[in-house]
Amino acid sequence: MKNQEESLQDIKAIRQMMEQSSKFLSLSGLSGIAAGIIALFGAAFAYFVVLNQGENVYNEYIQGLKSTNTNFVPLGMMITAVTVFILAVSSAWYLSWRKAKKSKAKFWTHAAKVVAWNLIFILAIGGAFSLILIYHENIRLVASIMLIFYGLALLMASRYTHRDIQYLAYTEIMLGLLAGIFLNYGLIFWSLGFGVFHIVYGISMYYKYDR
Amino acid sequence: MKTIIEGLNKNFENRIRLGIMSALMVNDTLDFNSLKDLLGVTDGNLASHLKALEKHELILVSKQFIGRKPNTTYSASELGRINFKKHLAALEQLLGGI
Repeated sequence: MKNQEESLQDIKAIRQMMEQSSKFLSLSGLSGIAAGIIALFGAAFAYFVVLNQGENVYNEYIQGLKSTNTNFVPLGMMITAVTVFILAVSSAWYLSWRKAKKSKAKFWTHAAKVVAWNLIFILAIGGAFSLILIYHENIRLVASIMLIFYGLALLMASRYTHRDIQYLAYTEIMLGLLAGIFLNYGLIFWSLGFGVFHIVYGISMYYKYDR
Repeated sequence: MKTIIEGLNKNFENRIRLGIMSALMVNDTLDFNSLKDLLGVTDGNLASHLKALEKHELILVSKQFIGRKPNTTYSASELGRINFKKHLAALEQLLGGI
């Protein structure tokens, strides 16, 4: 006959298996902090170098009149954004992989694939739409679109990882909507969403789950 | 006491079968390799436990091909879900004293 100790072990095993099989729990809080810092550097580079401290105001009409190098601002912004994206994703990947290794958990699990697929799918649509906006020279809306799509991607992914991610998702979406209203402050909202709030959530996640 | 024991299912006494069912309760479907990674067992071992669960109609098996590679996915059947819930309830009742 089953004794209590055995039943307790069984229930523990069930709970662990359910969590392990459906949630990607290796996501490291440090990856949020790293991504935030990288984003802030990117935003600083964009402001001080590409926009020359706000000297290079992007305005298709004026740039067209002056016929200066019209491609410099959008192209510089795009290259900065892509670099930030690649650096942030690879550091998040590495830090989560390291966390999985440290806790001797498998990293590339079924749940990890679901999270990755959700993020990639929605971010790709957002990225494509950003390119469409740039193509139509609506560059001022890009920050808003990036924040909104990133928020939606996080919201989807939050179902398969720590549930707390959803609060970051709502924050990003809200900042994205605000950036859509205050068009000239896109870079500031972008820095808040991708930089500051990443760091804030990363720190809180780190204290909650990683220690 | 008798009613509690009735809820316990012999099929779930084995830790691996219990693991398979737990994973299938929270995932729509899982393929063979995902289950293998989760449970950390050998191919043959996992296959025999899956066979047993399939025989008792606790799980559903669907075979398809991805390109030329066969890919088998598993999901919990309605009967499996009901039995698993009963089993879990019985386990919890056994623990009632703690």
